Amino acid sequence: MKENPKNEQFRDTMEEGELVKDGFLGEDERPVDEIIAADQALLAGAGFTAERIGAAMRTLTRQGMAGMGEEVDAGEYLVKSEEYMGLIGCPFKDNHRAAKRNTTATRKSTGRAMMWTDLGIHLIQKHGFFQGKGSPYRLEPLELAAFLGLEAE
Amino acid sequence: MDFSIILRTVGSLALISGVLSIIISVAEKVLNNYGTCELDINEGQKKLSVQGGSSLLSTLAGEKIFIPSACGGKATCGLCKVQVLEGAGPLLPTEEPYISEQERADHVRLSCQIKVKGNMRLMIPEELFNIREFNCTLESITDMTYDIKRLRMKLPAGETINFKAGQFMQFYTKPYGKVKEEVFRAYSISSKASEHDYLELLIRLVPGGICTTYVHTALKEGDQVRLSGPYGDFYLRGDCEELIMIAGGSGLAPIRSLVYDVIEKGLPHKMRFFFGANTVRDLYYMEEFAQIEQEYPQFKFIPCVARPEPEDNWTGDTGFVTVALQNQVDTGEGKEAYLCGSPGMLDACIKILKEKGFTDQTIFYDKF
Amino acid sequence: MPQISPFIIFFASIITSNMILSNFLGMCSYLSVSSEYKTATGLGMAVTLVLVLTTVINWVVYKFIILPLEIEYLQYIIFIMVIAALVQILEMGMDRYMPDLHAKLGIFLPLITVNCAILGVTLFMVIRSYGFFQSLMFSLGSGLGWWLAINMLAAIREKLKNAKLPPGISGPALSFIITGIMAMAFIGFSGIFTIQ
Repeated sequence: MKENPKNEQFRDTMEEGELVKDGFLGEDERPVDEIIAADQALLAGAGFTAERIGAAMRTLTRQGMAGMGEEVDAGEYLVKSEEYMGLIGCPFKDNHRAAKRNTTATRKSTGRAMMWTDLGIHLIQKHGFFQGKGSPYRLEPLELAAFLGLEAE
Repeated sequence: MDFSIILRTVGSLALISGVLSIIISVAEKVLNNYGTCELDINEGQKKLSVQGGSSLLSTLAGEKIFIPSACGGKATCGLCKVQVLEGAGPLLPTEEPYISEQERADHVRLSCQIKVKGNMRLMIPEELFNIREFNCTLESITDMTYDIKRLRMKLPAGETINFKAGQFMQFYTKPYGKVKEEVFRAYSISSKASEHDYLELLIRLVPGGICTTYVHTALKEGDQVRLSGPYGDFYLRGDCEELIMIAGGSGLAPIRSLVYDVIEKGLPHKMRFFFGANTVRDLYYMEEFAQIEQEYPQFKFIPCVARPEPEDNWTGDTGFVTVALQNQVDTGEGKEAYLCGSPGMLDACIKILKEKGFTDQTIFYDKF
Repeated sequence: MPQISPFIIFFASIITSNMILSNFLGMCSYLSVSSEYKTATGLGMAVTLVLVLTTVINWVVYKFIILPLEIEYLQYIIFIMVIAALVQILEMGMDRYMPDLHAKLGIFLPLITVNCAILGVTLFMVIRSYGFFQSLMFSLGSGLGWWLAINMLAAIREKLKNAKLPPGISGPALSFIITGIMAMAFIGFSGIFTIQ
């Protein structure tokens, strides 16, 4: 059954040089709905949801914010949050404005570090959008779930 | 091959497609041409005759009426709201997330989403009529820190600007690299309000930012820079004895303008400026503020460095600006607070200020 | 030209020979757009308008261009060209006068071009050799019948939004089952009117 590709209309804010310099799609030519559905399928198969991943990211970011730019010891992770002035709108045009905050979390046990933005958390949590392949801010859903130490359901 | 078959086939197909194309072109001219539309602004205060077909935001900009916007018409910032009493058409799906119930009852719309298709009646706040466009020349671009540049721009000959210290300008980039269209972003004015033919902005590089990358990589001295303004509700109220000013990073810009404003106007207010920086590398304008402190005892400059290295020999306050705020400000009585910085810093400082008795009526900051 | 009154054709095309429920043409946008009642009504209106105009124009083209020049082998191409042009014009008109409906319908507006009900009605008209007035009534009735069917499905789906359904059945599966039951109900009308 053909679905109206309702997220394709947001391509104009997702291309590079529109909302952010590198865009949210990287080199991915697939429709936005397909990118979301593919990642959704990957997660569902492994027993995770984008919602849970987003919530875990937000918890780490909150802990990092307490450090105000300095690295914070948050149990299994070292977290650092850096902020810039101003707010950035969401490319899905849902009236959400995110702070320009970069969170870098390092997992002590593995030494692995991952970086995300506040807007990235919103895109994952509310829209299930991990960004297109080739985007500098794309995080692979399963890697992220493993990094955050989530248990499969 | 029967020649007449080929002739009939080609001929009839050509004829029919020709006729259909003509009909479509005529329809396009009729349907997509909105003709001249009359815009009635503020119940007859201003009447404009404009060419229909474009968004209300760009149509008004073409008439030199600049409605604030941070996203260039993409419906992601929600700042371009205008009250349209008549002529806007039904509410569009792209507007829905941004217009509250109350606003819908008041006929508030997103001007970047509605097209001018016929006559319209609008209400535009008076202060927006002061906003003008300036094609300035970039006189100098200086590194203040490793990631903050100061732009000093000269207005075109004969033009002047009147702004309240603390207000901001919209800065328009030109296409560069992979960025194909111009974008505009808001930056607070850091120059003195008494200088009417120059504008200074402080721009900090944001990773992945379109405008800041443009400023830090593509902009050169002598370039033409387009600005519009002044905008904003962040300016001096002064209904108090002391001004508590707090800033971090490029948030110093409007505070500098405010400090000079108070001094130049000879106002009696005491001023304390808490400037938060993560490392010593993030400090700038140190000598200038130290000098002001010397010449004007009413002003005190309190820079706070969160993580000074031993080799920096830092003798000022250490720790986050919130620590200094907590220890050095006792109550909110007789004081107003002016803040400019990142959302996290703003939240943390506002929390402390409110605990000390500052209220929503005595705390001022830009929300964009 | 068959000797049937145009008014009988009109009622037959709505009830006994409904485009969706009897002929199963035009299913794609029917199933996709029937999730919201208001949008379904908008699409039904658009499809009816396109149907009437294209059938009438195609009748004229068939009678005065295709038949005299003996280019019946080109009829499919020519009919599609007319349908495409008309849908283009409809899109422009909708963008101007009904922008919110235009935004809500999205790609389903240009998809009317390849809606098989549109071409189907034209071809039925050719096969059954309808006259002008018969074609007009046939297309008007087919459009209204399509509109009726999509409205019925949209109304039922809206009511079912809050119902507790067995997992796996909701979505396309349920739409098919509902359509099938409606089609069976409409078989009850057969024999009342003849369409050809």
